[in-house]
Amino acid sequence: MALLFKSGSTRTQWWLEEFKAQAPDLEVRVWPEVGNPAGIDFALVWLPEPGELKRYPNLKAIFSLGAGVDHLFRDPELPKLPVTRVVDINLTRRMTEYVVLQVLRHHRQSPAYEEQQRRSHWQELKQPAADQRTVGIMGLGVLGADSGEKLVNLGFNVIGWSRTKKRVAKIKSYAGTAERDAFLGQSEILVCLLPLTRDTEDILNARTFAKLPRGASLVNVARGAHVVEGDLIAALDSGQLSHATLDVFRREPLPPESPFWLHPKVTVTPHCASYTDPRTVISQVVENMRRARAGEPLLHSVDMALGY
Amino acid sequence: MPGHALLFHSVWDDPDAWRRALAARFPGIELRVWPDVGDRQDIAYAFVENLPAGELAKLPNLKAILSPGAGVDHLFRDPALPRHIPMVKVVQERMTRGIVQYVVLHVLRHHRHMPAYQAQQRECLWQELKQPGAWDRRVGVMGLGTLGRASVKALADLGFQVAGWSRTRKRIKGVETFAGAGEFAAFLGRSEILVCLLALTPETAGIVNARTIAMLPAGASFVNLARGRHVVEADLLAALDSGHLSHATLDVFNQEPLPPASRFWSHPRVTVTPHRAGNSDRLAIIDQMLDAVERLESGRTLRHSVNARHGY
Repeated sequence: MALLFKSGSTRTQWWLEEFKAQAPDLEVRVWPEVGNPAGIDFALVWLPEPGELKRYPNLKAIFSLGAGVDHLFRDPELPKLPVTRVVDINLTRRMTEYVVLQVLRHHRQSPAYEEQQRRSHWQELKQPAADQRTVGIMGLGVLGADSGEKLVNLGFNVIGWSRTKKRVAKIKSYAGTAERDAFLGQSEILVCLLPLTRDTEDILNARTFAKLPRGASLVNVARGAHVVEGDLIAALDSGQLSHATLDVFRREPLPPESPFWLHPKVTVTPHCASYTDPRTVISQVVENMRRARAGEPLLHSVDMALGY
Repeated sequence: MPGHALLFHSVWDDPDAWRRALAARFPGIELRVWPDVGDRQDIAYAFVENLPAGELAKLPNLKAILSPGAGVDHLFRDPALPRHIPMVKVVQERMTRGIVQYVVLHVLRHHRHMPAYQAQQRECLWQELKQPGAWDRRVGVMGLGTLGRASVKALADLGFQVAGWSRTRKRIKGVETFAGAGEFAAFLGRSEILVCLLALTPETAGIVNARTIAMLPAGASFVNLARGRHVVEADLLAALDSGHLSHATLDVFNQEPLPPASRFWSHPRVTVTPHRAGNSDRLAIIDQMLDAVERLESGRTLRHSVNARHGY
């Protein structure tokens, strides 16, 4: 009766301390030190090696170590088992902090003021008010709705786009391919909070950028694979986009040779917008292990057909 | 005829826009742009900033002084200011929102280590920094007038542990409040990110100095969007140099525009913006000021008037 643990970050020690504090009787095996594969009942993992999870004959459920599950589907041999994801209020709060910060940075033209400061140049820039500025959020799930609500409270005009129509107070919702261009045409600051699926991969491409108002900006906090990176660089260089703040990339860590690092219209952060808080997740994992053994439905299970 | 002119002196505003607005609402009131005052007896209203000291006292028929900004310290610098004359300051929702956005932007920027991440980007360095949540971060706002109150509410909405400090006790739901000199040290001691939104008065000039900065927790940061003269700039630079303060974002300075020789421009722990926090809507300000003129002309009480005794 053991839990396989694989984290994508360097925070493994922090996780182990939290496991010890919250579930002292649970045997946690940290990948790749897995011991006898037959002893593993559950897996709490981020980005498992392809083929890894099918090695465990007694595995009963897979717990994604994050709000997204796309990292699991990169494994073509993923066992057909119940999959859950993390729903963590602190993950939502951290994400909202980051989104509000970066939308305000774009809105208040911080990159331009920072550039002026490097030249010791004192000059006011023409500044629209927030109610004259439309923020478009792609993905109106838990994260998108929370960020949208806080941006509305700060006075922004907020619209949202998702696969199906969502009802969120004070946010006009657009849905599906048919309404995508209408949504993009108004989005002066575009925030990507979509789940990564076959339908959303490469969605931030030349065609999408061309539909945005000229001089629009982009905040991507979802996945690097949403972005066609060459198209983004081209849109920034042509002036169609004024700025991009990117927290996620096709390759992470972002390779030193990436043009994003030193592009004057790009802000790079190291996939730090939000993360899964061990304290919240471990209690969900412990509860889901109990439910799985008792044959009860799991918390926060994922619809494998939709991919999220 | 006495009292049929409005004296205008503002670097922020367009006299032509004012002339058009006056012609539409008060065709009997003529605009006089400083220094072309004409006959001083004519002046009934003064929409002015930084007139030479003593000038307002020379206007015998003045009915009201209209300040182009939310701050009125520029008026009280004049020792001969006719304090019995009603004074009106700018209060507008859009400016309040502009201030709130600036506060939220720069508090979040300090909280989320953006200056450090931006420095890392210049080095092509991918390294995640330890990050508490807003619920574990204590922000302190000095000044709980219209702007301070709106700012602490917005910070509390984002989950920060917010406290406010003001001259007299204010009560704001969900916000711990401190008052007066007696509670200042306790307020500073808890404030990891300190925001200054005070009015500039003789009591608050120089309030951010070596002694008060030393009361902040080590590694605290500072956001000033009130007045440059709240800060003893040499003391602030020393605290940034020593690392006691991790960052300062400054929208206002002792001397504006900030002189090219100022160390603030190039200090790695300083973010400079050119006095644009409020992003006020200048056309809406004309409406607000002419509303005040209308109230005075029809003998009604003024809104957003200044308390001459408190100086704000």
